[in-house]
Amino acid sequence: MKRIMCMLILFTTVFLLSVSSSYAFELNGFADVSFTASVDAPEGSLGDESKNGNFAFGTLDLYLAQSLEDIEILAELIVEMGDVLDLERLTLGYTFDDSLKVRFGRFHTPLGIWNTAYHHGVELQPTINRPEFLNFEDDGGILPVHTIGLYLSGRIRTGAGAIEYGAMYGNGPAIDVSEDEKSNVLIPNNISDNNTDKAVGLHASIAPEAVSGLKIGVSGYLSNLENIGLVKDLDGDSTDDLAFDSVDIDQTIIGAALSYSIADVSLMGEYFSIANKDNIAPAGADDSFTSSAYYALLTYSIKDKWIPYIMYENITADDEDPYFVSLGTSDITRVSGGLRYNINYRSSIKGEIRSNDQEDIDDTWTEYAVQWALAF
Amino acid sequence: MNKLRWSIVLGLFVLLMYGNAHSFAREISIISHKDYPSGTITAAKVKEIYLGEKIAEGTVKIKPMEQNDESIKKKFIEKVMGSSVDAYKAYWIKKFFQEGITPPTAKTSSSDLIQAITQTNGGIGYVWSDDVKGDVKVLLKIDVGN
Repeated sequence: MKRIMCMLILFTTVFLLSVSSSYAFELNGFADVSFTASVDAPEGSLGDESKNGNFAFGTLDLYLAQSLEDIEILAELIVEMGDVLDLERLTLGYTFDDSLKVRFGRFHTPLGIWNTAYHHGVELQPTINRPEFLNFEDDGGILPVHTIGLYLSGRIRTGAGAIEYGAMYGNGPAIDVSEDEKSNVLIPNNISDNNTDKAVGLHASIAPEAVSGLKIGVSGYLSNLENIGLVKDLDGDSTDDLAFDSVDIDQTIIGAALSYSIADVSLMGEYFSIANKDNIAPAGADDSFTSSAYYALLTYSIKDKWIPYIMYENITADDEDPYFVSLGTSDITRVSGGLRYNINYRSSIKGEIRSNDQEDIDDTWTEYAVQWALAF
Repeated sequence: MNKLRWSIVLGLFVLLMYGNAHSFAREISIISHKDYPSGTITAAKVKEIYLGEKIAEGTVKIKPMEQNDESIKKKFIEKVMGSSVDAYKAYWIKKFFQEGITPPTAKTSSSDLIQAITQTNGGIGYVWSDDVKGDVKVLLKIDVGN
């Protein structure tokens, strides 16, 4: 709590000082509150924690962006789950022209559409939750959604349509023990890299002139990933669940994304293939694993006020892959149906029903959720 | 004879209405700093600039400005941007957050905007055509109706 207060005081001070200086930083943000209930979630399932019905404040997200004599700064700080404080983004950048913008710092890894378009700030995203596989690293995520390093981006107009790209080079992620020391999580290696191999990534998309409303994109990501710490007893029964002591993986992520809007209907989908090569597999053992994750989202806007939606998502992780085994990833299929009501351009209320089918749990279960979100 | 008389009356009425409609039709001018690298601009490019998609003209950083005056702002957003005011504002919340691109700077009046543009290299803005004055370049005129 003391850390949170210090950071909030720091942000407030920056804001107040800026008011009296020649540069007027504008502090903006997002906030949300929600209620989630899962009356039939089996024990040990992903919905177990909401079986009592939970009111929760989601994320308080504060951000500022400004250009100071052509040097661009963007900072984003969030307080989530009551007491977790994260410096989500901090970049310094320079724009040469439309086709080249350079940024240094911590940014959203250019993987697909959702991860850069709807990162934090749930008011912006169409659904209450992100697709499960796009969860943040410290929330059980399986993709490296943050990177610290160098980021190049731009927009190039061609006869065929506008091409947008984002290319990155930075610290690769690592696997480490979670804060409660009961599981393992991905970490983005914020202040140092635990190996010499850097991660590289690229996302490129085109909005073809010939088909208005269509955007097609591809992503690629390469990294070497090792563990820093490792919890071997993942279910807390005092016996090791992992048959290995360390993780050393070459990871290749390939993604394809599509979004299409026609009149009031929008369709968006992303597919990722995650190939991991185990560099320390015992001789004769399988050392190459491929898993997949995807979602498809359909929305229909009624006068920009009411937006019913349906999302289908799936994670299919290889049971033998040390990456997914150490992260405790379960295969899951989820169908979410909901309705968003835009109170005004800054605020919305969403109601959602989610049907979940988790591989390692016998029963399916249903979650109900309501969320009120605001941009300020 | 009666037919001829009625035809003349109807013709005069149509001419009168046409003239009235044009006398009320208003025009928005897209203006820029005098050193802006281009002498003209298309409506499509104006839209890209005010959506934060086009941020430079050659090596000159574009600094778009808009007006707080609701009457011209609403006309500009609806007729040039092809959007509702609320959708435009929501778009900029998203754009600012996602990419850190700052929205167009708001000015209180046409004269404030013109003054700011004359002092800002890469400055671009919109005013009623009747209000254009001073050392600015008119890149485009757009008829926005009544």
